[in-house]
Amino acid sequence: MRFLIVYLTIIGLGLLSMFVRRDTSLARGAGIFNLTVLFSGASIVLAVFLPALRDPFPLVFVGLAVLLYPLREHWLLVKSERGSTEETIEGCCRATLLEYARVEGGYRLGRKGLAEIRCHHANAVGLLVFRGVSGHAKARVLQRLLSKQFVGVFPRLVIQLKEDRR
Amino acid sequence: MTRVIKSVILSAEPTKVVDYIASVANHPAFISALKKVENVKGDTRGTGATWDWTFVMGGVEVKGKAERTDFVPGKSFCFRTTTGIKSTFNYRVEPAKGGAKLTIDVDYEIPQNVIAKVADKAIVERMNDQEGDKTAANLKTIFDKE
Repeated sequence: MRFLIVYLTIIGLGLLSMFVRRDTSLARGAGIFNLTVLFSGASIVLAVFLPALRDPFPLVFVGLAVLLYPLREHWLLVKSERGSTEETIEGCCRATLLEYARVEGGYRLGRKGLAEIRCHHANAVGLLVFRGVSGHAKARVLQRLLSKQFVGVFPRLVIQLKEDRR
Repeated sequence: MTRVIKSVILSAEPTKVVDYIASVANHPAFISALKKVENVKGDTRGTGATWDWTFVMGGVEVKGKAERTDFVPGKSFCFRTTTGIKSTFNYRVEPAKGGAKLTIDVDYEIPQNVIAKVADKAIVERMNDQEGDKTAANLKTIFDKE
């Protein structure tokens, strides 16, 4: 039960952090899946080796991980607007010299159109779904660049270096 | 000073490669630890161009400034950082079979007090060497014809 509470607290704090921030925040399905697998593994290890500390519901995390597996290529954007998200995707395609074509509901990527991004928006929340990216090297470069255009779930420490007098 | 030199053959004409790299807004596309380039002032092909950069190291964002030092059309683009860690970046291109040979030559010096507080020098150097490999690989992917 403790593990579940900690897990839900992290998810809740993450969502809260995304909604209160000004910039468009990104939560990747792969990140949430990895977190769930981590909790799943920890709860199983505890159940086997430290039964006194074990969570009563280790299989809940395993079940959650199974449910989240197909969502690894889904991205949740908070405080996003359709127009600016599309501009961002197109800018990243140009920066990675990746040909793209606008299709209904998203983009087809590459000359052969082997990868695509589906875009869904409702109010200030967006959902990007990537298909065929894992088998397309250029699309993977695009995906990494695209992720840099948004802030993460939790704030980061920022260090501003001072100007040199050279 | 520590030096990292990487070379890669790209499937593009030298002029196209240099023009792409001289557009510093493209740098986050091929330098994986570089999150953002912004506030570009001046033409990076001309003298005096400056810009702000943001690197992500160990989950921490480090912001600084850089200025262009040299641009030779179809041959090279060079710049240096003007804040914090001293570093110079030289991208040199020459014609090669299949397109262009790009050589990435980076000189940098991490202050001793930073090394003592943050990490072992050998580890930092290895990480930067790996970053150089990733940069070369990303550029190869970007210029690869599908």
